[in-house]
Amino acid sequence: MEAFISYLISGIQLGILYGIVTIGFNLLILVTGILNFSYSHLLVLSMYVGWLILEATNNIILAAAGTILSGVVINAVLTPLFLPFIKKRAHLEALVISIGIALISVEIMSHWLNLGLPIAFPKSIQMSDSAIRFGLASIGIGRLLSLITGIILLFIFFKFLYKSKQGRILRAVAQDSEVAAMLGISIPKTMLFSFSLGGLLAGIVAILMAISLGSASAELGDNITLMCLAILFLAGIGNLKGGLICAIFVGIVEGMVMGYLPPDWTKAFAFSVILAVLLFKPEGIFGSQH
Amino acid sequence: MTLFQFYFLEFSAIYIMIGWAVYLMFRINQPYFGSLYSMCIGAYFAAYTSINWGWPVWLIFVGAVSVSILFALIPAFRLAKLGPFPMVIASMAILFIIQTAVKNTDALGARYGLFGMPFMQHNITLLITYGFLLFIGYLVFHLDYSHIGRAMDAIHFDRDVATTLGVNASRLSVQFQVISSAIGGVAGVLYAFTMEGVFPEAFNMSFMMYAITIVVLGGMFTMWGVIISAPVLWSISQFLPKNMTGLSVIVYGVLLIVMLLIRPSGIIDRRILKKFSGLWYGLIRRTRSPETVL
Repeated sequence: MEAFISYLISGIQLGILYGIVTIGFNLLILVTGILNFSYSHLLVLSMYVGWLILEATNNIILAAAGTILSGVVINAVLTPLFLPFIKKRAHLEALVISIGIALISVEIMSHWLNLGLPIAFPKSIQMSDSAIRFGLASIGIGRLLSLITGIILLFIFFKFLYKSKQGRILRAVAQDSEVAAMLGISIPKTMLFSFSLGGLLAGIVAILMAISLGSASAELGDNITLMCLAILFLAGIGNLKGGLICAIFVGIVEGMVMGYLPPDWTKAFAFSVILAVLLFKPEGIFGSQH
Repeated sequence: MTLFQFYFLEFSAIYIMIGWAVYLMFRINQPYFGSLYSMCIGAYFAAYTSINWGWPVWLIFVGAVSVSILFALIPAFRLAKLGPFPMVIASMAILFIIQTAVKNTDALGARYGLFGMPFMQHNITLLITYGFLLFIGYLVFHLDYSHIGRAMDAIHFDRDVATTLGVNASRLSVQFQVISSAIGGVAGVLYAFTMEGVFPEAFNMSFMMYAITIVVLGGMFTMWGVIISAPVLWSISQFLPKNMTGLSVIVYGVLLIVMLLIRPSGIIDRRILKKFSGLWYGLIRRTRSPETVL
């Protein structure tokens, strides 16, 4: 029972992180119409940037700031690569470009950063020494902190999206970019903003992942992408709230599966979910909003 | 013939086949990578049946193509209804599931793969490969330059309008998935005989990227581009310094992005083809004209 509770909390925490990343994917789909396959890979690249800063300065605050900043900058800098295809509504070409970016970033991480070896964050970040115990099982303070921060971040994001002027602009462009443009909204600026906002979310999730996982490797981006795509299609493309609910569900299921099956099969399980949903309910459980 | 020349000729032909298999599905705006997992299935089928059961080559080809088609048919009718996004993800999912299953199956050598296939004379391998290449090229050419080719164009630009005008897009998609997978199966057997074995990492995401790059670089709207892009891309990976092998994926990625940005229609697009065919027919007319005869 104790192990079950431990798996459950880990699963929820994982689900919240997946939920935020899925929101990043959905945000870009809704506003720009493209499925940015490289989103999670760039998130992991931000983790690497944070680790490099930490190695060089040993300053956690500087490393955290660097991680968030790199998330925003990398995503913003890559926006011009997508813009011509967004304008032409050439979504397939944009997807192919994002697959290209994803593979380039994986190759950079697996060959040039830290000699291609996985990176490990100091134990002090994970706060693994202090943990809450339930009998024989325990959950680290770092994981709990990551869970709470994730929930707060989601609350702020939805508040921003539904209560702020910029959030209204994002929603308007997502609903109908042509009408939004007629009403004086700058579409390229909104797209740049959505990429940067996605980058900001990715940067924060990169820190939360560093705290909860304690390490990262080049393949981590693939794993996150696979799980988030599974969630995306399970919930329905572009459905923000549905995505969050499914993310928590998938996180819990993954937490349980990880306890009993080898890691390879966890990914195969995610892909089986994607495949089943695509084949039998392509619009997702909560319906597509794109 | 040196080993390098053999590999160049052999891999160029195999990747041209794979390029054509992917190209066919791109033409109907369904980026389906079933040919890649069919290649994996074909390669493992060839390795397993030749090592364990000693099957003759012709039977291996028949078996591999049959199994590939069977695997393709299972999800084909459902996949045929999907749009481009879900199609990419679904076929990637199948590729990944098959790779995971192979990696965890001891009978297939798990992570290490299957090696020790019977050696086939290089000349015979090339003869078989180029025989298949000509046949597949002939098939793709006839699909391209027929009423089916026009239907493919119509589906690519507007599936709904094409359907309204009587094109059965789903049926065409199923047929192309089957053809694409059969080509993949053949390519897989040839790959396994060339390498004298097979390992699961040969069919990972980088391989998918490689296949996409072949088609995008060559041109998504004509079958001729892949004949140039496949050998060029294979050569790039061979001429990179040994300590920079990882660079090849970056080179493919950069090429892919640059090509899509500056020339989305690829090296050989229809305009170039039209110019070339105009020159060609002009030349024929001139050689046949009475003035030339006199």
